[in-house]
Amino acid sequence: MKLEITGLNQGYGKKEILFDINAIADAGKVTSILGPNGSGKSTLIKTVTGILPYSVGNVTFDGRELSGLDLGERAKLISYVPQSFSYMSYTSVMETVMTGRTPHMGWEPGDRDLEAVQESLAFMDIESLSDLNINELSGGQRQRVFIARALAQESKFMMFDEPTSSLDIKYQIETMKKLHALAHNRNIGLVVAMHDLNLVLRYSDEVILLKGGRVHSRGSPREIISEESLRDVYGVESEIVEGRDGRTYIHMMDV
Amino acid sequence: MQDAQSLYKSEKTKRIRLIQILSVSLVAAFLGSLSLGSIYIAPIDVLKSIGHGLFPAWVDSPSQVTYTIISVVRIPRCLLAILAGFALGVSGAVMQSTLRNPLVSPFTLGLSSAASFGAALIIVSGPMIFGAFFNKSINFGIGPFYVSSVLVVISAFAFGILSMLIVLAIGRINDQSRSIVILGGVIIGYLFQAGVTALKYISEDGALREITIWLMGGMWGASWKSVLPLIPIVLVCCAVLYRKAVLFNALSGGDDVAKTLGVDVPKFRRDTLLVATLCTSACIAFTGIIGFIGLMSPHICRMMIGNDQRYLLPASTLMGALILLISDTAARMILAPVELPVGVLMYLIGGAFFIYLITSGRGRGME
Repeated sequence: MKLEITGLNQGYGKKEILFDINAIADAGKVTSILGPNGSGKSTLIKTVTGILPYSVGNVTFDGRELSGLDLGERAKLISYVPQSFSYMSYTSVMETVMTGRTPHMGWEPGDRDLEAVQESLAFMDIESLSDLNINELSGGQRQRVFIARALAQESKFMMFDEPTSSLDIKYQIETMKKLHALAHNRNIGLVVAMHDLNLVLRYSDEVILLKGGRVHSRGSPREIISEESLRDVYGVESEIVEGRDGRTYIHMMDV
Repeated sequence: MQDAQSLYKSEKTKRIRLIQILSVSLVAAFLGSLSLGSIYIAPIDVLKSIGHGLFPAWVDSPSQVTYTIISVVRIPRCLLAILAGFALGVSGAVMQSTLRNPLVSPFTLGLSSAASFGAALIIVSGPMIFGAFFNKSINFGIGPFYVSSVLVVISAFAFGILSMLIVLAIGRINDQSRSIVILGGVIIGYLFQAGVTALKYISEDGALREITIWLMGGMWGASWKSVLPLIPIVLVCCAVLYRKAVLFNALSGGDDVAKTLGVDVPKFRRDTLLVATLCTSACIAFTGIIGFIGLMSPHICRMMIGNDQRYLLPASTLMGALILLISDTAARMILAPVELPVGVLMYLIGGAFFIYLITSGRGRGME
């Protein structure tokens, strides 16, 4: 399955945020959206999930226009993990993850719904938290719960807005590793807005680099993340170095 | 560590048990309320009176006086308390869930102030507008109605609904975003409150007394004529809201997440707030202002069984009825034969409850 964005413009009221966006994200791959604050990453993510309606341009999934899909169909196709968490007190972790089954279940969850919840909890390594209330968790634990909720939705595409922002370095690596494996093993398309360039280099298959609401460049991480592009887009001097493990790393130097 | 299946089952059992306990307690409180009052009636005579009312051919009436007290005075009064409790309990839970704010209730959204204004407007201006007709009684074939009382009820109901329509119209500017809706409700509440104050200021002594009594809230308006139309309204509204419980759960993760789970958030918020307003307005039009139940019932139940709306909504409905029924009975008993307005008692109980909640640390989860 392929997500294709062509000629997309987006904004809030009179304020234009995105201009003539053209990009592709494939199932089975991790596509990262990079760019400085205010470059339109979150707006792009919210547009391709259907949260923000668009009027200029096209967003298609295998040729089917996103705005033409009904809400139930869309919910089975796309899931979303927001940047900031919203929750009600006294809601347990299991119940939060179970809301991911909303597009699939009726009033009462069936066996498959409970299985999917169990699998998602296990995948994110939070089974031991399942009976705790969400307000009793740390920020990082909550972030893993919200990723599990999106996993339980069993959608073809998953959109993440900075999924590792509240995680410590161990869980950042672990989560990105898991998401990368998820995309490749289950043929799910992952679109991830990110800030950490080293994580992008290591776990992304494709990169869309935004600057001022426009696509600056897109391609493989190694092609796109360069000293020149980082200077041009972020205004940062950097150095691309090879680590002892043979991988490429970014070393930030100065602004 | 339990797997999701067994954890779900054990949680579900706990929740159903609370609903069962609340249901049994409500029936017990209902029978108790029928027997208690300025005149004590033995439970067996209460049962006989109910039996006689339902099956006159099979069950003998205890005595005409007892039967009349039970069937004409106490049953309608207790049923009104139960129905108003249902409406306030379910509306509070629905408003808190749909706006994801634990401090929201029919009060904070301006509904009560608007209904008060509706009632006060008719009490003050009714005699001027309708003249002598205002104090007449008319007969619709099921007994006499005072024109003034009917108009007060209609006006309170209409203004209750109107306030929510205004709030939702304000909310339209930003897709019914919850902050705009809450803010709109608070502002509308203040505006109608100003209207009530102005009406009180210009009212005659008699009207002022009537407004004050209405604002205190109580089950004085109870009769079969008021209870019968409320039964279908409240029960249908509850059923409609229960059916949406899974979508309320989806909304707990925020508007954006709910949209990606297939919920049409602005429409859902508008529809559920309107249904909650409909049943609350219908009840408070008869009872006057009764505070805190809409705020308190969902909180108590949430602390006991969590936030799964499939169980929280019915539990909060029953809890609202149980609290109001017991409070109304206490209001009749404490200074008998003088009756305290139950609204006043609710403020005392509610205030004490929230202070306990905050100081005991049990409210720590209320974020």
